[in-house]
Amino acid sequence: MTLTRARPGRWALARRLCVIAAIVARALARLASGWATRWLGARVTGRPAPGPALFADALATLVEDLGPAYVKVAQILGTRADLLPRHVCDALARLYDKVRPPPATAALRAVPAALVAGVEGGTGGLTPLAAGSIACVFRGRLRSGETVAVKVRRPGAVRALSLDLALLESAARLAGRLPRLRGIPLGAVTAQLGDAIYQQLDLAREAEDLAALRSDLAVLPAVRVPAVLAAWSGPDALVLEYLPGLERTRTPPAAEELYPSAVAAMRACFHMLFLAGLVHCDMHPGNLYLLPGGSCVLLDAGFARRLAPYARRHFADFFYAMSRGDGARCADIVLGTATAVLADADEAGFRRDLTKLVEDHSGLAVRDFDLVGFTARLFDLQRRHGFAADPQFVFPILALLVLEGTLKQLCPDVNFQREALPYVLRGLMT
Amino acid sequence: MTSITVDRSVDRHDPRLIPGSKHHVAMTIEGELKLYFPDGQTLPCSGVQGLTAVLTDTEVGTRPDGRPQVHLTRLLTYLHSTEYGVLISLNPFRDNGGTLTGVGPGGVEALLPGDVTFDQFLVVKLRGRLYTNLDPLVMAANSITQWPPMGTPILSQTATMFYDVEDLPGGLAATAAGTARPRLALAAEDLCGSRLTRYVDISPNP
Repeated sequence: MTLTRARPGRWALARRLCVIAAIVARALARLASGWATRWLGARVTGRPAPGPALFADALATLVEDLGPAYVKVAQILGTRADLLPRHVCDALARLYDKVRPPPATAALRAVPAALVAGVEGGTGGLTPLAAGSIACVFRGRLRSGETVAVKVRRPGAVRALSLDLALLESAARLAGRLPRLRGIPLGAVTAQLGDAIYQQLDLAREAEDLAALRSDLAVLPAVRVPAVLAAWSGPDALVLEYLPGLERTRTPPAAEELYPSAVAAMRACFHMLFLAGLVHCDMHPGNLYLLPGGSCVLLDAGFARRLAPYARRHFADFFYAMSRGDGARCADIVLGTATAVLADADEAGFRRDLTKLVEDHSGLAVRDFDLVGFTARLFDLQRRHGFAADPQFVFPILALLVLEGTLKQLCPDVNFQREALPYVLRGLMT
Repeated sequence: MTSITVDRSVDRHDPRLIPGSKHHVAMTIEGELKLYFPDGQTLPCSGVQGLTAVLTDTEVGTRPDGRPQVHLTRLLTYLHSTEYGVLISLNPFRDNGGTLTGVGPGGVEALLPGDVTFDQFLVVKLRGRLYTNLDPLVMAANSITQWPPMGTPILSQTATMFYDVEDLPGGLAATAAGTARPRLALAAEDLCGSRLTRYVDISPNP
C-alpha cells in the first residue's frame, strides 16, 4: 500500500465536523450524567464528591473518541506537567500505549496473510500487546522460533487522520490571519506536523527509520532500539524483535534508580539532534522505557524526522551561542533562517529583545532553565517583530519538549544542559 | 590540597598597589575542563600547570555606577602537560584584556574587593597542529580580596571552540572563521577554572 495523503473534499470535512460536534456533545452529556450520579451518591453515602479527576478522565475518553490526530496532540501535551494540571497528565498517560483497542478481529484483519502464515498459531497466536493512537501491537512467535512484536495500523486510521489533519490545518490557517498571530507560520508548521503525523501510517517508512535510528544509536550501548525483521515487514506491517521487560508496574522505580537511564535517554536525544540528524520526536512514556540498571529502550520511529544539515548545524550553533550568553549571535541565527519577513518587520527591536531574553536565561542554574517558557518567549518575539521561523526547527524543539516533559516526571533532577554540551560541541565540529 | 606561597612582605590586599603593577604567578587548571574532538574523544586538562602574567593599567577609571575599574592585559599564559602533549599559550595577534572592577563605589582604594574578568585568545598546540579560538575564553572571579587573587578559583562557565590555524583565513590573526569549521572545543560539563598557586618573583634581586 502506497500512502499518498488524500485532501478530503468540503463535504467530507463538513460531515466530519458534525461527527466531532456529536462526539463532544455525547462526551459532555456523559460527563454531566457521571458527575450528577457521583454527586448524588456522595450526598447519600457521605463519600467524597466528584473531583477534578472525573473531568480529566472524561477529557481522555473524549480524546480517544475523537481519534488518532487528537490522541497524538494529547500524547504530546500529556508529557507537560508544567503546562497541564497533574491529574490531567495522569489521565492522558493512558493514551501513550493503552488507547482503547479496536475489536481484535478487525485489527487482526490488517495483518498481512503471509505474516499470519509465518506465525505459530496464525492469528490465534497473536496476543494484543499495546494499542496506540495510530497502530496496534501484537506479540507472536514466528515458526522459526523468534518471538516478535507485530505492529499494524488501527482500522480506520487512514481516513480519520486525513480528515482531522485537514481540519486542524484549516483551523491553523484561519488562526494565522488573526492580527495577534501574524508572523507565526501557523499554516506551514501545522502542515509540516500534519505530514509528519500522517507519515506514521507508512510502516515501511517507519521500518527504514527505525533501522536507521538503531544504527545511529549503536554508539550508545545503554540505548536499545529493537531490530526490524525486514523480511517480514512491509507497508502494512512492521515486525520487530520482541523486547521483554517493558511492562509498566503500578509503582515505578525511584527517581534515583532511574537517573542513569534518564541520562542514557538524554544522550540518545542529543545524539539524534546534534549529530545524526534523524530525530525521534515522540519520546513520550509509551515509546521511551527507562529500565533499572541504567539502560533505556526507544520504540516506535513513526514520528521521526530527518533534519536538513543546515537546520542541525544552526540548531547546535544557537545552543552554543546561548550557552555563552551571546544574544547577538542568537539573533543572527534566527534572522538568517527566517522564512518570511513582514513589510513592517523590526530587526533592531528583535535583536534588542532577543539579546535580553538570552541574557536573562544565560545566568540561570540548569534546574531553573525553563525550556517551554524560553521557547514561548522566542516565538512571541518573532511574531511581534515580524519574522517567521523556519518550520524545520519545530521538530527538534518538539523532540526536546516531549523528552523534557517525560523525564522531568520520572526523574526531576536530570540536567539537560550538562548532558547536551558534548553533543552540541561535536555538532558544531562535524 | 594545593599549597600557596605568598610573599608576606607585600600586602596584596591593598588595592592602591594594583594600578601599574605586573605580576607573574604559577597556576593550575582545576575542575572538569576537557578538550573535545569531533570524533567524541576527550582529553582531560585538569591538573595541567603553567605560568601566567598580568599587567594592570596605571589609570583607574570610574564606571557610571561609581565603581572603580582598571584595565588588565594578560602578558603571558603558558600551560603544558607532558602527559597529554598539550601546550597552551596566548595568541599574540589578539588583545588578551580584562578588567578588575571594585564591588562598591569609590576611587582606587575601592578596587578590592572586586570582580575580575579576562577575555583570552589562546593557541593550543596538540598532536602537531595549532588551534586558536575566535570567541574569547572568558574567565572570571567575583569579590576577590587580593591582587593577584592567589588561591581563588577563576572560573570559566562557557565552552569555547577552536579552529585549526591552517583553516583560518589570516591564520593566527583571523577574527572570523569564514568557511572553516571548529576542530576542537575547550569546555567543562560543570564548573572549572584555574587557580593561582604560587607567586613568581622575577625581579633581578629577589
